[in-house]
Amino acid sequence: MFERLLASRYIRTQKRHSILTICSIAIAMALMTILFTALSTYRGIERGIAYDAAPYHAKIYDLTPEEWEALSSCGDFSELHRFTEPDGSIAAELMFGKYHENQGEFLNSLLPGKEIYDGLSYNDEIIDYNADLVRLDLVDLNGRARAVQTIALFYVYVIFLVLALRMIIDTAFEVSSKERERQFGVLQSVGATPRQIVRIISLEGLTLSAVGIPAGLLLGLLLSFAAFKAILSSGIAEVFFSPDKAAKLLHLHISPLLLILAAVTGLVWVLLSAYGTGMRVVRMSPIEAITGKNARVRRVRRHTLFGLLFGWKGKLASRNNRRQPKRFIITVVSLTLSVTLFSSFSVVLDEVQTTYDDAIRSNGLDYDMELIVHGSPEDPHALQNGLTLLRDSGYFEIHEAVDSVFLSSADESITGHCLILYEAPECYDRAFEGGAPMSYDELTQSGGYILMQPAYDNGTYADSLGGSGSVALTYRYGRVVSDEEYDAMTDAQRENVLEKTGTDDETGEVSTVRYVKESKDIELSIVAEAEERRYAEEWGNADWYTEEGTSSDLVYLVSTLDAYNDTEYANFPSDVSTYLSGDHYISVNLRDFDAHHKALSFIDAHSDIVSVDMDLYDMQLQVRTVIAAVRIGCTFLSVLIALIAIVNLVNILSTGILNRKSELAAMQCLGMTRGQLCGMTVIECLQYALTACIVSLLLSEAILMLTSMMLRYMELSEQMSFVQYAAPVPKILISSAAAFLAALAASFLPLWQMQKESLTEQIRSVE
Amino acid sequence: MSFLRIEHLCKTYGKGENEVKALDDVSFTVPKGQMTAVIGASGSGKSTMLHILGGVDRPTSGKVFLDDQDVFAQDNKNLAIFRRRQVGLIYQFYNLIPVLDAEENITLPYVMDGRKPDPAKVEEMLGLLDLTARRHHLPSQLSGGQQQRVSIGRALFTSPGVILADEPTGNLDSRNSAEIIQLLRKSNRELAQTMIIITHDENIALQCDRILTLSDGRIIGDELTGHGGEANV
Ligand SMILES: Nc1ncnc2c1ncn2[C@@H]1O[C@H](COP(=O)(O)OP(=O)(O)OP(=O)(O)O)[C@@H](O)[C@H]1O
Ligand SMILES: [Mg+2]
Repeated sequence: MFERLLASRYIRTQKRHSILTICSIAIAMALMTILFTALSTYRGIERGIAYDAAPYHAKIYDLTPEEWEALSSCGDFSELHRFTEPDGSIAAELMFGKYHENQGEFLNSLLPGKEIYDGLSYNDEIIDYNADLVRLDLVDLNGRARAVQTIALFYVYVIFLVLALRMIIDTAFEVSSKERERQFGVLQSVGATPRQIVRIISLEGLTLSAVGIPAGLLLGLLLSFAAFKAILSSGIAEVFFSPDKAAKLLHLHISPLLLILAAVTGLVWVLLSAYGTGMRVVRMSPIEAITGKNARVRRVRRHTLFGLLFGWKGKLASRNNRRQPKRFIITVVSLTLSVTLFSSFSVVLDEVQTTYDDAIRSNGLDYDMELIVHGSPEDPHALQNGLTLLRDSGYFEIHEAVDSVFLSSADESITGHCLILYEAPECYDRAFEGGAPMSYDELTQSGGYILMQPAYDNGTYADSLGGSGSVALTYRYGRVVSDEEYDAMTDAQRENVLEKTGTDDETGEVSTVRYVKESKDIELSIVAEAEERRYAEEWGNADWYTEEGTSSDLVYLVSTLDAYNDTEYANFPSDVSTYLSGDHYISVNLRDFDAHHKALSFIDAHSDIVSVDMDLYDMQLQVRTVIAAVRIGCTFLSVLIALIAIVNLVNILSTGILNRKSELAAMQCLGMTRGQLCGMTVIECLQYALTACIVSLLLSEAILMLTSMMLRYMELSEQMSFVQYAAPVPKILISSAAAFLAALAASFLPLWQMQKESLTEQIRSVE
Repeated sequence: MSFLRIEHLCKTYGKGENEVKALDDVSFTVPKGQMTAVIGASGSGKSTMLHILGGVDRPTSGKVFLDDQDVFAQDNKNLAIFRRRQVGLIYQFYNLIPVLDAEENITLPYVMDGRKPDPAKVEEMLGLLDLTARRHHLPSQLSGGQQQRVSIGRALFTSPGVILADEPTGNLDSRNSAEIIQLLRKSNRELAQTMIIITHDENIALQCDRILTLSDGRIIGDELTGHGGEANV
């Protein structure tokens, strides 16, 4: 059969192209295999969980011996076990082996009078019905309907891939048929019938599939396995399951049926592509195919952008790329899809990360642990010492260590109250979000304060201070009155004494403290001003900080912990009514996330100084795990997309170059230098990459616009900060640059290989 | 009687200002067994006409009849079978299949028809074309003249009723080209093949039975040379 001869000749003489086509088929198949394996694994794990919960479809209690007989004589069960319950009654665990539209009604008909199922629900006193397992084993209508739904939903996802897959396989055939259109034209002109032409391409497709499809299945299984391992290694399993459960339930499920489905789909695709290209060749008249001329005469564009930019080389490059518009479009579409998908994955990844981070931060929980540094009002250095201990341990990074005290204004320079904040060095820059007016050391040395004005205030407070550089405040506190002192007091004096009753948290002892209210005037020097940033966002409701919402006019004065320890103020008597408590709550991050246990035992060993208030390790671990799993998933998809793009690119560009082998050689014969040749090639690649870049930008912005419109429509835009038009731009630029490099590699490889032949050899060769 | 009848053949390329009238109302008949030369300036539409006669291109308007059968009334499949059984086309630019060697190229139309070529006949054809030593060479390994001879062999091998040759000796030296013309003439006599040969060579034209002259897509001359004209009408 000459069709077979020609098909095998084409495959053998065009090794490079055959290999590329096989690669395309294999990658398309691999993608499909991964998807199908994902589906079967998902269902498998779901079933495993359902089976783990109860290893039967139904367990029926309180059976009479006759009823047991009825069950065991019915052949519709794949498994049936008899149990004798502790109270002596008979129970049966069973698995349905046959499909019944409604298993409940089937059981009713089998055990009349038992009233297992009332048409809506099961009588859970006499039957334990594992609906999930029944559904997943597809033995009732509900299960089958749900499975069809899942698969239908799945196929919606698959449709996106169909685009990519068809494109890969189509490209391979498109490229091959373009190259051989002329040859098919000649074949037709010497009398090959359309059917024979189609048969040649189909035979070729079949032969290549015979290698590509099994290879793709294998590759897909290997990749699925690797992906599964990688995702599990992120520890995501432990977030949901105990370790032994995870080991038992979480493994890859490979469904031979789905694999066959994938293989058949792949084969159909290949044949469709082959048939499509064959038909296209056949529709042309032989002479059209031979001369490569379309009946349609296209006008040659004399002036092109690239011609203007790069002179005659640019012009030639433009002409070359326009010569086969379909190929140009396929390349650009494949590049665009890859670039867009690539960048949108990383945008999604970033979004997931920031959404988590935001969620955590909005709860004020963006740290690993909250600790208590024990102290007493008499020891103003307790916090400082505690921090030093933690820092020196090497396990912790101080995330936030702030102490604060409310003071009221002594005169009218500041209305209302003033919150004095003392920041540890680690937290200082963050407090100002990088906009600190002076360094920590400078502030420490000055011993002064930074006035932080509310954002809405427009500097009114600073003005109200009159540029004096200092602010007079009153420190109000309660001085404890000892029993002896109280006894010595006059009645008039005693009238000022107040009592405060408190319960000790640990011992439950109720004690009463007598105190008198006293105050001291102090003057704090203001060394700089800054705009309030972090506190407004972080400390609760933003509305609270608008002018209307402010219940009291609060002004922040910020200083350093070191300065605080040196002030006279630190040695003020402070007790019952002040805000300077004995215990300091601080938050820390773990330097080494995995050294959690060591960090805990360090704290245990120093329990007189610090103790754990809140350990967020588990929560942070979960967040990290989920993000890691998402990241692995995205990476795998990205790698696959990159693979598709690269195979397509290599396929198209290298054939493009090899096709023009004799033409390029002719140009070199006319005196084109190799440098000029390379220049032209670079410009061609640049055209591809630039076009893809621009289209991707437009595409992703359009998608973003749609998303934001949808969010607004669904009135979700408040909750989702998703739409950031600038976000994909750098990613698209980067991936376009990568695409450009890939295109260069794909073009220069065949060029470099061609240089090994002499020019006359190159001119003579016709591919 | 096997003869070729062409009626009001027109072929235009392109549209509007790009329009080219390659053939403009060409009509003539070629009786069975006549060897006709077509001459004319470059670009006068010779190749275009030949391609249409060979059924590899469709005319814009007009008809081609072979043995009173309308060639372009057939569907694609029958047109293909027509090409492989009834016509042998020798192209100006050979159009060989690059993945097949010389021998395979020659026997291709025959094999495509589902028939097995007779080895003796293959040997004979290769010998006639002086290609025996090159039978297993790919087209890219052959010289221009050798490629041309392969394409001639391909056209002759199925012994079709009509041979259409587009400058079959364009790449050959005078001795070789004389031999080729002898070969074609012999085939024409023995098999009563109808032949149309496009040529720029006066000598070759004069060896034919009839000379058609094309200019700007029209026939401006049609004369019998007067030798071997037994089949002439
Ligand atoms: N595909 C095409 N598109 C546009 N014009 C065409 C096409 N093919 C041929 N022509 C034009 O048709 C005319 C006839 O071309 P044709 O090839 O038949 O000439 P020819 O007589 O064979 O010339 P030569 O002796 O140089 O081979 C020419 O003017 C040519 O430019
Ligand atoms: Mg010509």
